[in-house]
Amino acid sequence: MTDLLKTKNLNVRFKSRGESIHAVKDLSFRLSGDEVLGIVGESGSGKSQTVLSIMGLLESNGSASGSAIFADKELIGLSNSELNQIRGNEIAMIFQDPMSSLNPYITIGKQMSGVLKRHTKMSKHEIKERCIEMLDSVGISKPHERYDGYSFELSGGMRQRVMIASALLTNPKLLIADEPTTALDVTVQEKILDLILDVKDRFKKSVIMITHDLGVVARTCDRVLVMKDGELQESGDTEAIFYSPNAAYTKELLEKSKEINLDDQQKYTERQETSIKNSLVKSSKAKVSFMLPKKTLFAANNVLTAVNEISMEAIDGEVLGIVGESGSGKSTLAKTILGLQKLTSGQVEVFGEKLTEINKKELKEIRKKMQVVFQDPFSSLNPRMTVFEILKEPLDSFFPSMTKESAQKDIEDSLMEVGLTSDYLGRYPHELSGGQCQRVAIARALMPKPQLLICDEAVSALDASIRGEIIDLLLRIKSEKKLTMIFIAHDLAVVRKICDRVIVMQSGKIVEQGPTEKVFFEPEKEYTANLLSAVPVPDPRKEKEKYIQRTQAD
Amino acid sequence: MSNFRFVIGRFLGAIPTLLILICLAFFLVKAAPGGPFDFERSLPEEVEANLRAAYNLDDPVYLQLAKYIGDLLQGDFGPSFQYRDYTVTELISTGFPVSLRLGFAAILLALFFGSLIGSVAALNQNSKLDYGVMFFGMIGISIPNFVMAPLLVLFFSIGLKALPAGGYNGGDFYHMILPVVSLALPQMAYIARLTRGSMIEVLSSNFVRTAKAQGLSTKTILFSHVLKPTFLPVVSYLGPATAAIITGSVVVEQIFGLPGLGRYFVQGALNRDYTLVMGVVVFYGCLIILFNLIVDTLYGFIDPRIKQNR
Repeated sequence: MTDLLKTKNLNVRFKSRGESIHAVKDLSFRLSGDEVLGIVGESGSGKSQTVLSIMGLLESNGSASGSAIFADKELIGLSNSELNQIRGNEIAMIFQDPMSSLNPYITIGKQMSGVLKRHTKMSKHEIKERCIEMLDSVGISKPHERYDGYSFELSGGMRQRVMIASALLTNPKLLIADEPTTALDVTVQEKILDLILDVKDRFKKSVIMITHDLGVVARTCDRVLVMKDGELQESGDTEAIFYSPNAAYTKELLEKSKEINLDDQQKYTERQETSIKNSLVKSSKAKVSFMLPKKTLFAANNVLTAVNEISMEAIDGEVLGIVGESGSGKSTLAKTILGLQKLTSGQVEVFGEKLTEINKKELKEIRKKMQVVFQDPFSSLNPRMTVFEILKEPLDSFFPSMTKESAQKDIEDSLMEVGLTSDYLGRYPHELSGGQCQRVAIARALMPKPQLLICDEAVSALDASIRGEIIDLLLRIKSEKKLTMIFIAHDLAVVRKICDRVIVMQSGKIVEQGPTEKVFFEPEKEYTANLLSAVPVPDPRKEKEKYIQRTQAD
Repeated sequence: MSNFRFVIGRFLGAIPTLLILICLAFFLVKAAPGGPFDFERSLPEEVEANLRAAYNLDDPVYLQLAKYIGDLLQGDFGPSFQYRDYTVTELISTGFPVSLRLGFAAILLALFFGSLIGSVAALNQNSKLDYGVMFFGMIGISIPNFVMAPLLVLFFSIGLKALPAGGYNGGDFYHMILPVVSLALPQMAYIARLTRGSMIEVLSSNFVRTAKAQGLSTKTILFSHVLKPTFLPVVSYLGPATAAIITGSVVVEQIFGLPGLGRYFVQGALNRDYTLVMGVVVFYGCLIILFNLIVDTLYGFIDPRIKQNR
């Protein structure tokens, strides 16, 4: 079969403040018709820039050179209007974040019909028919209503379906998916990936799948390119890459992904057996509800119960995992424990104090003993404060009488503890990498010397290699300081690695709880089992088996 | 439906605001030293006593306030203390058309050129054009109109002798140019900066990237994807802009000698013309509340997410 896309010595460079950044270096690859090509690498590897350069979508300070021939046409160096004949028509693209990638100000129908108006001569009526037919074929229910609706009325998975539907409108030859499921829950991810494979077969397309997740590659791709720092490390058939990798970097990547892996049969033996069961946090029938705005004046109150009569405890010295998909109420539960969210009914006891019965001053005393690390390290650090100021703040609020010298020493010590040097004290968050930011956030949480650390998706936004480092850091600090940890995550593999006990939540309720090994290897509830099998594992043969099972079950 | 409920709710919500405004203005005017009948030549005592009695000025203050509010409810702003034989209602209805003409022209001018200039700057981000526009924008914002107006007069009227330096002349076009421009300039500059910032943000948003990936032309992207979100902050600024134009018009009308409401307001305050000052305050208050309401309702039509939450 002839190549649909063939690049030769593709280079992408960015100019930024006089500096030139070489984002993609001499990349040559081929894509034949009717295959799924994966481009895998960590952030900064140039995988996204590669496809953006092919699409002519580089930021204005970027430039591409070399050659990229798509269906016998050279794409590099085409003018904007020439590219516009191809973009959206012969090559379509879907992006990572379907919320921000769809325009919230105009209807879905208007956005979709725009593509057809641009590339075809269909009549208004035909355009609408085609859009609704496409929405229907990607599994959107009530496509007529959705056509006149807005993207913000949909869930993340549905939005991504809309993106896929609009990409397929013109029946393009090539579909590029840039981290299409990174922002989605695992069960939704499974459905979207299956959908992409399904449309690929149904409509006979080639797909370029860009991802950092080797599990996703194993599940979807026929061939893989492995990239690092803009350079191609290795390319080949998916099975060859996974089972007999050549490049050192590929091996390293596989190693890392297996280190935190659900499929790992080896059991972690060093789980703590706690003999003294002293619970630091104990909730009994805790319930949190929110009032939703009424649709009409006399409508009944619309109530959303985020945490529905949850009874759980966190025992001194353990790492308790709380897993669940978005909307399961896990973060609301954490907020409630922290005293940041009021209980509607029920009770939460933290360090023996009933949260509904204490005043602000007592709450502050308790907060000294429990601290939190949030998901997005950039937005949870004040951008106008230096690292020093960020770390000093908890000292000022919890230990106002502390001398300057001992504060300085404490700050330097804790920075050291999280693996940063005192050189970082004067820096602002934007001068730090994601991993460094999260280290600072952890150091800040440790400043008041807490006994309980709550990590709310603390590693979800990080690259795989950095995620590993941060997890190791958290585990080290936990055992050194004898901390109790509540670890909230949607990433089951991470939870599997570090938690002693797990609570599985779904729509505000506890589905299942128990020791990690038990929940993960002998789940009692179907929901847990589905959740576990939805996680893609970096093993193409197993993924193929799972896919066959799924498609036959349907 | 929900929009209608929103409008009603806002109308009801405006009542306490207005009441507080009336009370504040009432007591502030009363608290200012001097009274409406303190002339250079003092009046004979009996005359002043009669006058005070005629205007109910001897009643306790709360009674005066209650009576004033009672009259207001019937649409009666009371008689002016200074302009004999005129009621405040009559004064407002002679002054307001002048001010409306001035303010409306200024807002339109500011809106049109402000968004145009801002958009052009955003589309040519970091070019010389952009920097130039934004430099003049900064100047426009930082020079108050009581400085700008005399400078314009100096240049165009006294220097070039191209435009009249003042006077209303029945609202003649040439007479209105300088007042309108000096009133509009700061707002225009602000709107330009607002539009520029907003458009740059929208242009770098992911949904614009999606539109580019769909092969839409720059023009289509601009008109069907970019403009609407760009002008949201501009629309919400229209409320404060109206207030700024009203305060600005007080100054500009003085400088150019226009017989507008602002001028009555200033003179009323100087003469302790209680009813006139009160009347103009209440009138302006209603106007600003009304404009904010219009803006917020408009916002709901542009931003579908707001409509949902109402």
